[in-house]
Amino acid sequence: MTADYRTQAVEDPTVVVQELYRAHAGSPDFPRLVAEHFAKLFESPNAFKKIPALNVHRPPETFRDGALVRFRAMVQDTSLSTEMYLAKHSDGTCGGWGIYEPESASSSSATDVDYANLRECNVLWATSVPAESDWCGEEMDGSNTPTQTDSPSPSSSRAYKYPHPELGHVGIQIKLYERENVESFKASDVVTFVGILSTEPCGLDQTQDILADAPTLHVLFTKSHAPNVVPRPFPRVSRSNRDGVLLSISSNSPATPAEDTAQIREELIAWIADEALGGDRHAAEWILLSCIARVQSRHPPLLPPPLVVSHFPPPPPVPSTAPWSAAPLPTLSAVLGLLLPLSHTLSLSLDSLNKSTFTPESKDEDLHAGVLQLPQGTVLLVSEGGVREGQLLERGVLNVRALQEVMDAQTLAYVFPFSRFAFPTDIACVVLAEGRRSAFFRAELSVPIRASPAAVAALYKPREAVKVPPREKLDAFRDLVVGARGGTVVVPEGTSEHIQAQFVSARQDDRSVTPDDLIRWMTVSKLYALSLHEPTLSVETWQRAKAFDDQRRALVA
Amino acid sequence: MDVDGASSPPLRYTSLPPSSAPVPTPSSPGPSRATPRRNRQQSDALGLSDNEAQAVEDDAPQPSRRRGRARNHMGADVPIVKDGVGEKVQEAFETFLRTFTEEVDLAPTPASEAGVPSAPDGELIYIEQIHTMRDFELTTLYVDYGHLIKLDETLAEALTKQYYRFLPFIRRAVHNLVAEFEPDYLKINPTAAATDSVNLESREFNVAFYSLPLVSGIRDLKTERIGTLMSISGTVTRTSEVRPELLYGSFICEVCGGLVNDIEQQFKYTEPSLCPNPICGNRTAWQLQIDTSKFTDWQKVRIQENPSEIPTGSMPRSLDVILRSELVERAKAGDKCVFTGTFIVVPDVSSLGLPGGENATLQRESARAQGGTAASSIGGAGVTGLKSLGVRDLQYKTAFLACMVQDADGYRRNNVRGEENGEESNTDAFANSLTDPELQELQHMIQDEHIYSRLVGSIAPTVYGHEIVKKGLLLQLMGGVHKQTPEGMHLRGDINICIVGDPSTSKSQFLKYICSFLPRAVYTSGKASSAAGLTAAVVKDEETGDFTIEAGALMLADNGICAIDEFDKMDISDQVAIHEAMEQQTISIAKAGIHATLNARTSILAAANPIGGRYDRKKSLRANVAMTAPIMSRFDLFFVVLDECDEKSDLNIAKHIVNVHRFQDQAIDPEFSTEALQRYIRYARTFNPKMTPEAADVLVEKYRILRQDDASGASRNSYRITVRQLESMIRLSEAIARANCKTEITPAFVREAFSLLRQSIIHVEQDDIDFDEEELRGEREGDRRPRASSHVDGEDSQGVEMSGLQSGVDDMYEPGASGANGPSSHAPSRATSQVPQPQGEQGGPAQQPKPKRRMVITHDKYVTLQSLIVLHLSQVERETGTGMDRDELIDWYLELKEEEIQDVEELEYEKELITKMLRKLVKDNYLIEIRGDVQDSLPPSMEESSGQQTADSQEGNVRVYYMVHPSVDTESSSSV
Repeated sequence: MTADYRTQAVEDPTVVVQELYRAHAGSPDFPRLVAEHFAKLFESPNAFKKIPALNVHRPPETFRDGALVRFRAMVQDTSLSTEMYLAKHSDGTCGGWGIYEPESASSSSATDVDYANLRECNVLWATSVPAESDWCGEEMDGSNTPTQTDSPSPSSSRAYKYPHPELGHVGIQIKLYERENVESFKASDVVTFVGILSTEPCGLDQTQDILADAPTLHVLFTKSHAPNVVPRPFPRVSRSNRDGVLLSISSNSPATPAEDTAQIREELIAWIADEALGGDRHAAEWILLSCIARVQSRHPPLLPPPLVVSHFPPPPPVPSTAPWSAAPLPTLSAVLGLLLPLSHTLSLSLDSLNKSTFTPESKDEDLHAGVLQLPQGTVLLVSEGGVREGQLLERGVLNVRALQEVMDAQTLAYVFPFSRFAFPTDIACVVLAEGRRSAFFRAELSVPIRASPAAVAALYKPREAVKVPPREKLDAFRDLVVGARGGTVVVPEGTSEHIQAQFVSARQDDRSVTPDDLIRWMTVSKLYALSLHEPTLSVETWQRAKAFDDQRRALVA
Repeated sequence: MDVDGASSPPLRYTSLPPSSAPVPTPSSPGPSRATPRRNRQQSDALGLSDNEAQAVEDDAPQPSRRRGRARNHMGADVPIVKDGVGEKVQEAFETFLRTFTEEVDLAPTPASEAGVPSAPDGELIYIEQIHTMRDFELTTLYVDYGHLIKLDETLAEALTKQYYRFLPFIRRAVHNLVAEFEPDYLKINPTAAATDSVNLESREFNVAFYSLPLVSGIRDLKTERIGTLMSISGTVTRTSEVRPELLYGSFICEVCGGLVNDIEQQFKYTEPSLCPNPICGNRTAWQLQIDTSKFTDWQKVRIQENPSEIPTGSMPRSLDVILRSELVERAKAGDKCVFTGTFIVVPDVSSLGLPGGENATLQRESARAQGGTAASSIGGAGVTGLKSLGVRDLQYKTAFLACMVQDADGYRRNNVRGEENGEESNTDAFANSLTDPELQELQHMIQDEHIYSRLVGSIAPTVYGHEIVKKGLLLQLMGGVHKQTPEGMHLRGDINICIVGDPSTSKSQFLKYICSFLPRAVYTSGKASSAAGLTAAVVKDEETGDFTIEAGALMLADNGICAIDEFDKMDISDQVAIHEAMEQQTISIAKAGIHATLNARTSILAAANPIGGRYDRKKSLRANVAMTAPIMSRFDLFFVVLDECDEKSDLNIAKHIVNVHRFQDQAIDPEFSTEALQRYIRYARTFNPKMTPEAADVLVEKYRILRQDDASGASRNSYRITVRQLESMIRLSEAIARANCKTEITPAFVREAFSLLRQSIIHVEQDDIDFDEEELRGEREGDRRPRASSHVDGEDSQGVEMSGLQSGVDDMYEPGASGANGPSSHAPSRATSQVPQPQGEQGGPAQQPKPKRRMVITHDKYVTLQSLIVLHLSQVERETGTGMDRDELIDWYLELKEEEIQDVEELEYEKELITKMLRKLVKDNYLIEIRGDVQDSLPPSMEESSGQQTADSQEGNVRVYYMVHPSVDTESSSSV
């Protein structure tokens, strides 16, 4: 497969499909053949990068009909009905992938459609990945994206299918011809679809008489993503200084484990504390632990513990001349965005609680996205700073419940007519509460912030005012956080003996110590070890983590 | 009537302008319907090719006069091919309708001549139905598919496989029969026939099949099922309005003014291709005559997959179902229905507006949605110039053409619960749906003798201990058998369970486990329930202003389990609703002018916190839980989960938690995977176990014991024992039988049920153990509690074996022991008669001087001691294979307690305590007491042993050995 052929495939994928069909006429499983062929063609990362990426900066309108594109997307809706297509036209040519019979050919045989040639294809709806950080997008799509147009492209006509319709995004109808693993695409999965872009009537408008067209991607092959989209090694390895490219990923040279993890960790905590938490390092360390928490297992449930940062001052009063929406986001939001590939900030107010919907809901056979329909691995920062006195209406109550359920069980209910189904999520939550505890949410972990009144304004300083560390430092921070998110910690026999013994004696001394405490200590200590990039939990780390938790409890009490 | 359809004439029934030709035949739709089909699908075994024609029977709103397209099946130049097989099917079906009687056992010889019914005696139900159709002006003949299979399996199979192909033939068969038995009914206005034959309208008859053996889900519909007769189930999510659909159009030629009748409309608006007037030659200019065209009612409903059929993590699929004539308005939004009919392919809505012109024969479906006939009745003013639009090919989508709608709950066989006269067929049907390895695994499980306890071990593996609760959960998943009295009253089979316990004792984990295990389970919290409601809510639709009912948690869990955490914190209104749901299995709604009774057939799994945070053992269960007695009594089982604070269990819990964090799912590694367990439970639920007479006797006896217990006030019941508990016991027995995959309930199952119930309702609160009182009670023969006697019967299956074994042991020792101690000390009735002696020996002297310290320990301590002793003994047994000498055991205990013992007095106290403890354990069937040397009891050394024993006993006291009672599960005893 020469580069030329590859170029041709990028230029005119339809022709390649047709040629392939000619070569393999009568193959019983042609769609799989296509998938394999193209997947192989673009196997190497370099070749793959050659495929133009479809994203907010390059929306579908900027491509010509029939172009080959890759689209990193979140599967939003899989409830669309399957479609039938003519896999073989009357003249023996290939059908599907947006290839239709020319009018002249079809006229002769209009009434004699051979139903035996009909095949099914699955249709789903995908949107650009919500909560994705800019740096993550750049890393995945390459920096060769055309200079960002000043106006973030106005969102698709079906903005309600994106969790945060106010933000720019792309929504596309996906047609999958290879049906082997089609059931494996679940809602909120992040997948890169590679296929032929065109415009077709949208299968969503079941109930409407007039069908609007929607950009449609006829999928050739797909690529699934690691939970963090941009994987980083665990334990951390040192970067080669050139270009800041990760050695272990780009080449086979043995990775040298980084020596300075503990130091980087301290620097990271200090940076978070100074930039976003008024210098409170203790709270910053808890934020760090929350950022690396994820669902480790559902059976038994080992879920990320939600964290409440209490006594977090409300945003400084906005001059009455400013529009309401100008209430500033906590600076922590920007800081998390710089560190994490997937993070989102939810600024709660009674108005937003009562008006928006947190859960996806199917209306007229069309699944509207909910605010919480976020890809797995998102860190959600919930700010209660905007809440004022007032009435929480029914929808607000339901929204609060939905978020509480995400925190407690990592499931999100999707509402369908006459039924609701819980779908798994993996969203680590950090709640910024004004009072001693959160107004709405129960959380296992709670830590008060100790910021001097003078520092309050700095908690809400604008994004631009954040002192971004030098590139290398920032890369190291990201390696630490993202790597820890992907890592696992082993609890060796010795440590577990120690933990058990300690628990038993703790119970002897104090009956108020419950198994729940042990569960929390285990969770925290494992996160602590992860944050140190230690693949095994040592007794020492356990003790430190426990002391760390005890310190927190002392502060709360 | 002239049903000359067999030799379908090539030309349409046309009525030329009155001047040019007389009407050839009174229009008879039969043949005309069949013809177009037959001329195209001969070769297609699946009958696919005619789908399009039928499927697209769409009275397009745009008659488009200019559409000059070749329509081969309308063209007279296309040779008509006869479908010989179809004719045969028609004949066979006619015979079936003519001859079928309910009593038929053997297939009668088919009628040789169609005209002569060769019916046997007995009611010809289908002929009767034809008469009824006339009386009630119905046009649909309902055929039980079971009858069809019974009488003519070949026909049934042919119909199933190629339903779509044979559909016109079976309809013609009905038409023929109506023509024969109710000829007048054939025409809508028979009296007008004489005057104006042109305006004669003939009726369309439909055949509706029902009671197909298998009901598929929407997800099962694959392309290979197209055209076959099948049943699917789903929940109706929306219904279109009912609209007329054009079946046969009458057209006036705009050139010569001639009338063309009965142009069949195949899912699309179809004009005659050529004016039959030989001198006209018009192909394009037609005008629809509404008054002479034939219409039928038409409705499209959208159905959505039933929640129980959706694979985890997937979204529900939807499908359009097309209903016609008498079926319209049979399904309402929210109904769970079973549709019988066929899966078809129709050109997609979405190609509307764009499709390549020549393909316009296949009209978009949305045309219909637009109210097809409304448009077509307006006449020819349709969209023109479709041809000029786009070059895109059509897209196709699937729909379901239904001939029958039934309420899924009323659907006889394939009840969602997988029971009710399903019997063998259901069991087999489920077995057939499994893959080979799955089936093998299932068979392995069924054959296992100890499957019950192994299943229990695999329930909620994340929770450490609590075997009894797990037992209860397993039985809840199994469920009892739902019954219906002859009067039509439903008796619930669902088992309701309540777990009461200290905070952070994994109550919620049980609830969450059940919810993750069962697709049809809903988790809700009593505290938060008022927001969304356990019951249904009446909600006003913002757009339409209509009030609709929104399902509450109980309704969502219909046919499943509703897990309610913090049950005690529930609203009063919700408590009332729960009350109704638990007993009547319905929920009543009376809000905003809506009065409805909705099904809520759920098992309730509740978790409640004790009043005051911690469970107070001094108080009764009732006093510990904030629940009313009526609600309490509706729970079949109560479990109390306590936060035991002792080193050993703490260590175990710690180990468990740490291991979960270390190894995740490997740590808990249940014997059976969740999937295997789910399959087993689904399989087991197909059983409907029945009581054996022996079991019924045991049941009566156990109930008597419970009642007597209750009446005597000896037990500390939480509520009065009533028939409700008898029902509970039956349900539990049924569930246990199901867990064992048995169709019969044996006495052993009843005993297990009894012991569960007893532990649940009576042993729930354990007061402190007062040994003195215990013994006193034991001495007074008359005072023996009935429960004690039940112990002797043995509590459960193992219990029976045990008592047999034990009496055997006793017998063996009869000679030796009696020689030693005299008859008084060792009568087979264990504890009671032996009590006084050892007490005198050991406790006596030391305690004399002081006022006797009462031998009272807390139940907590009792349980701790009990598990300590049982574990130790079982360990010794494992190592040595023998029991343990009493003195040795006491020494071991005292050594254990050495540190705590301060003085001699205490030592004596402990010594007495352990002695009494042992005695009580024997009495409670935790230990067995054996007098003499165990080794000697082996049969070969029988004589020797008795000799030795005599010697032993001569030396002093007889040696007493203790062994763990065989019925004690050493694994679980610590958690009881």
